Parts: sequence; C-alpha cells; structure tokens
Amino acid sequence: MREIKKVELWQSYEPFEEASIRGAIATKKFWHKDIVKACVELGGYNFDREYRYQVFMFIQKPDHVKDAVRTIIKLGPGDIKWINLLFYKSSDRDVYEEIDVIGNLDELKVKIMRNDDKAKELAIKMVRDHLKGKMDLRKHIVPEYDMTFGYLLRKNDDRVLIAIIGYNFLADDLIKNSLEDFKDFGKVVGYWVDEVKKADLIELEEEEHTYTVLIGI
Amino acid sequence: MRFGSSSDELLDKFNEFMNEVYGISIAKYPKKGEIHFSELVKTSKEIGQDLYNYMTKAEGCWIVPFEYLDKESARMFLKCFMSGDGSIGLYRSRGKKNPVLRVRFISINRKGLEEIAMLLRDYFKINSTIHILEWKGFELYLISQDGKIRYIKKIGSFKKNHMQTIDKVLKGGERD
Repeated sequence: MREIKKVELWQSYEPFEEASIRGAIATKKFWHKDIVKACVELGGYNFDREYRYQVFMFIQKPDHVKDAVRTIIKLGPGDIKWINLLFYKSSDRDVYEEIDVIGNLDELKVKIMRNDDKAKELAIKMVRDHLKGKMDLRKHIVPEYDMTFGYLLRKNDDRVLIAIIGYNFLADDLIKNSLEDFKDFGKVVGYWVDEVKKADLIELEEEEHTYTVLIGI
Repeated sequence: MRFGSSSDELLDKFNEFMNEVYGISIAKYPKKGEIHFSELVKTSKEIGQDLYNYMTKAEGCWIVPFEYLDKESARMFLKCFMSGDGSIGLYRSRGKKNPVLRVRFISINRKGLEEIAMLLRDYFKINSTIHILEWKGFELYLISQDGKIRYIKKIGSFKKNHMQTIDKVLKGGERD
C-alpha cells in the first residue's frame, strides 16, 4: 500500500468530535485535483470479544469525509484507539485492491487451517533451532500466533475492508464474533486472510507432552 | 477533563479514584449515537493543575512518568494500563493438555511499551518481549510462567474478565 498522504485525525485520549472536524479540515487542505479517493482508517480493541481490528472505509468524494468519520466512530465496536485519513492518487493501489479475495466462508476456514499447517512447520524448525539437540521428538508442537483475516463489505457505493487480529486457536469464535460485530458496516462480499510465510519465536513453553510455541507472524 | 471508555466498570473505577483523591463524584454521559462509549466530564482547577504537573507535555506520545513512580505507584500505573489496553487470558489451544496463560500490553507507541517493560523488570523482576504487529502497533508479551504468575499476583487488573481469569489461574482452573 502506498498512500501519498496520511493525516492522523484522532487518538484515544481526545474528544471524538475533533475527528470529523479535523477530517473536514484535512480534506480541504489535501484533497487536490490529483486525489481520486480517500480512506478513513480506524484502529480499535475489542478484547471482550478476543480481537483487535482495523476498518478501512473508502470515499470517492471530499464532502463524504465528515460523515464517514462519524459513521466509523458510531459503528466501531469496543474501544477505538486511533483514526487516520489516507489520500490516494489514481496510480496508487489501496489495501482493498491489494488483498487476495476468498469467495466464501468455507474457503476462508480452509485457508486458515493451511496457515496453521505452515505455522506448525515453522514452529518445529524454531523449536529444533532453539533447543538444538535437546528437542524431544515424541512431543507435539502446538503453534500459537496472532492471525489476521477479514472481510470486504459494500454498502451502497461505499467499500469497507475489515481486518481482525486475534489468536489462531480462537479462529472459529473470532469469525463468529466479528461477523456479528461488523454487520452494520455493510454486506460481506469477500473474505481474506494474511498468509503465514515467516515467523519469529516469542515464547516456547515445554509441558509433559507438548511444546507450545508462541510465534510472531 | 474527560475520561471515556466503553467499559462501565472502568468508568466506575475512575470515579472511585476521583472521589478518593479529590473528593468529587463525576456524572457519566453515554455518548449520543455511540453505543460503545460513555464519558465522565468534570471541570476542576485542581485536577487540571495535577495533569499539567504530572502528564506528558505535548510531545505526541504518552510516556511512563518514572520520576513520580515508586513501586506502589508503578504497580497502579501498570494495573490501570492493563485494564484499558491489556489482555489476560487463559487458553487451551488445539492439541494441548493444559491451558496457557497469556498476558500482554498493546499500543502503537513502541517507546511507551519499552518503558513499561523497564517498569516490569526493575520493580517486579518480570521479563517481557515486544513483537511488531504486521498491520499496525506493538505487543508486549510477558514471558515465562513465573513472570506471568508474579504479574497476576502482584499487579493484576481492574477489568472484570481479567480478574475472573486471574482467579481461575490462582485456583487452578481454566478458560475454555
């Protein structure tokens, strides 16, 4: 993603009213003729539902910014932590355009399971490297990591991308909870998941029959 | 002064502290059209002066106010931070016999989390590690079972579901 301009509109210790006012000011200042679209980006925590999240709401017209900021604040679940405004030229691809879209929920679940397999492969290598010759080959390797997945939504002409971040072993709950929590943002038109490619070791815990490996993806 | 949160229990706790320190009670306002958020609002010169004296001065990000923190106030700082922006969970993932306790602090301010790591290490001998999140922000994970148990025994959280988890861990239970 290559945004030409990012404006930090709001952080969690500020009054919410400031966000839409600053959004309108930033739009006047930065939405010139070479800008084709903008995106309101919101980050939040919803730990009662076991996840953190980001919302990207795309806007085609400058006079939609203020309402978009208000809407995203109104609908964002849990605790909102920051709000940014991103501006794009026609040559820029946004995050919505860059992700690999999965057609349905079953395919999403299959891809999450494939990620778990890859994470296990990486975890085995990390345990082997960490313990060197002392690894007990009879023990199971259990990888734990923060997975990132989400939804593409549409409501009228608005496009919205949701990113959900939470523990891999809670995947079923995360999907169920987040689909409920974000339903007012629009109709789901696609799914996506970040592919596990590489990882860092955060913590290794050894039990009687298992190595639990917390990895950073 | 405004104190906003989606959590009624944290708003109540903040009100309790305000009463204890300043002898005032603050009204709670649900934000119109925002189902997830309420605010406590109060004008007070005394609180304003304290905020001016003890808080970060317009440098962008929050910092740990080391110069004002002895061990007890450090404990309270960590406990409050955990209540708002932390997570304590006891999880049993697939293929595991025993649940694992996970304790972490989350922020987009890496320097702030590094300072929290210093507080944990220097006052409580608790080790941690910071992980960069792919999308945005940082997580500070407490590492080693001893450190996590020390955290939940000596520091803890005001958040109800954190306290329930702590209770289960100390009683030998688990969170499914």
